[in-house]
Amino acid sequence: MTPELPTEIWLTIINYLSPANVKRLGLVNRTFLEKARQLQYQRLLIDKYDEKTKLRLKEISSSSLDHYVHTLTLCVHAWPASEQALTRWDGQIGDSFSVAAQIRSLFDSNYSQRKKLSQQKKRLDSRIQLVLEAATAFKRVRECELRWMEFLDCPPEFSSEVDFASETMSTFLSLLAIFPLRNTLTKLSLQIPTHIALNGLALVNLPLLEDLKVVLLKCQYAWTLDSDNAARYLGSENLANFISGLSNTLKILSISRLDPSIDLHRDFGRLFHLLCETDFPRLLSFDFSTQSPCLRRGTLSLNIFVRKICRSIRNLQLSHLAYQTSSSPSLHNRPDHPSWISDIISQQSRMHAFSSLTSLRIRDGHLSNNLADLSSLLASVAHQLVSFFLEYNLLTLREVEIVVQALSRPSSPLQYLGIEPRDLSPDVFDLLASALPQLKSLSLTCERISSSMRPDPLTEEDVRQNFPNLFFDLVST
Amino acid sequence: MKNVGESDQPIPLPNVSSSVLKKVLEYCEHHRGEPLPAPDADTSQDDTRKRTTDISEWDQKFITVDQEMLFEIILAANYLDIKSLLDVGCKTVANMIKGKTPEEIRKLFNIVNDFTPEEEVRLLALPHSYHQLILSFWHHQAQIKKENEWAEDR
Repeated sequence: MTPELPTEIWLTIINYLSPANVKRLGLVNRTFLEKARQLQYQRLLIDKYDEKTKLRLKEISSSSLDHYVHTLTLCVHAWPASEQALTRWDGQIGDSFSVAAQIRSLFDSNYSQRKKLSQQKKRLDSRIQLVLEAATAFKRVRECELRWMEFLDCPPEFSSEVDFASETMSTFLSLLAIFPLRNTLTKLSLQIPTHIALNGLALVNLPLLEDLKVVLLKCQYAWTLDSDNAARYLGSENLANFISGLSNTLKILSISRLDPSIDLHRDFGRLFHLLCETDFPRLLSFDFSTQSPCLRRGTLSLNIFVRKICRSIRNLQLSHLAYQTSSSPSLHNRPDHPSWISDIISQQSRMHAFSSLTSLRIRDGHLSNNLADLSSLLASVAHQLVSFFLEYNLLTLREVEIVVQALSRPSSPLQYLGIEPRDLSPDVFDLLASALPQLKSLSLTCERISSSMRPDPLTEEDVRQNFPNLFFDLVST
Repeated sequence: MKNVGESDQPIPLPNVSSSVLKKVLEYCEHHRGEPLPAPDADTSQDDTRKRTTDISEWDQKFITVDQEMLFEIILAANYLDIKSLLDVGCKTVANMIKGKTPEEIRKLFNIVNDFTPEEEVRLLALPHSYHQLILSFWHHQAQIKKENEWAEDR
């Protein structure tokens, strides 16, 4: 007799099927209908705010399918991809006035502006209404995503559309506070432009939220806005208040700022200064990424925050994402000044306080100047570290040696390692094999592959003999 | 098995029969030394993996067994946490379902239709827009991935 497969395996199988096949499978019997619906409706995306979407939402609610929706994604488009798409978007905007309106505007110079504003207000009301209906209808939404979407080439005459999108985003942020959404969310992902002050967010309290990801983007249409440093500063304060309100439940915190114009000292200094006033007893994972060039002076509060959470966190990821300009074209340039990550490592290496850390990922092209502190930090956690990745840093053989020696322990639990040797030579493998033979995963990125200092070229067999446990050997250049 | 350590003692596997275990070992032996996913592997890669049902030639030959054995292998792979074998099994079942009518799927897995005629009519009338919604979501995810890559490259 054929055995029964458990639900989770059927869900994996259904994942491999196209929507048409899933639909047919749902017609087999009640059990399969339940499984198919579970997959079909678990993620709901709203990226258009029109009658069609409204009807779809109503269909889902009236067919009692609303309880399958676990993830809700709301997109706010700063600017649709084309003018044609814009007029289809949600109501007539731009220059699409009637002939009568155009004649009227000849006698009333402010008419077209007033008309535009009035249309935008109506559109915003409709959007709010639609999102409110969705948020109240779907009672089991655990994950929510708010995404600011941008396309290139916004014509200047449509700059008001960007203002409208900003207002929409601010309103949607405050809608997170409505019932029952606020009581079911465990995971929230926000992709928001930095020019929004996040006033609505400061008042939101999500009592079950465990996982928060915030990506702060630079709006490409900043030229259309009254770019306001005060808004950024206020945004950091409001974000801090929001995060502080999650202190009792938050397990994963990820903050990325893809806006090099944000002042790490002023804006983010304030953010982390405020976060330092709160305890995060359940925080296990902290990820901070920034694009700002070498802003060392702003790291004081961040350093204090890391010190505050260092005893409890298991995963730490610090990324200095390269902001490429014509004057700094390469990821792997080594500037004279060490980065903010160097400062943090330098401070934390003296503390020896990462008592729970098992996974560390550092992305910083400026770290090679400060390997002594990094090796000191690694040595203090080598007895517990399972995974270590050092990216955007091309290391000489000597530097690889420093890192590897710091990680090497007789009973080291390290299983996953990723480093970037400048020259990939047999000596690198010899070094890794002698110091870390227990590795199960090794990721190597290099600038060039050197021919051997040994008489024979390195073969796959050599690697396998040296790393008996290695399953994953990725070599990329 | 990593938690068991080295031991001469037999390890009981109550949920796996000897014939199935033999097949599982054959699979493991063939794939020994192949890469394992890193613990923090990108989830987008996982999504990509899920969207393809391609199976390598050796795996296809290996998994060409009767349905009972196929389900037993899937259950054993799940129990023994052999993700790649579980994937091969699930993809095989997905390939068996692809393109079949509900009636053909019932016959294939010996399933009884427990819908009333009224329910069937109602289900068939469900608007296609739901699937459009899902399709739109996948399309959107791909767009987001592209945009993220673009944002990081900037």
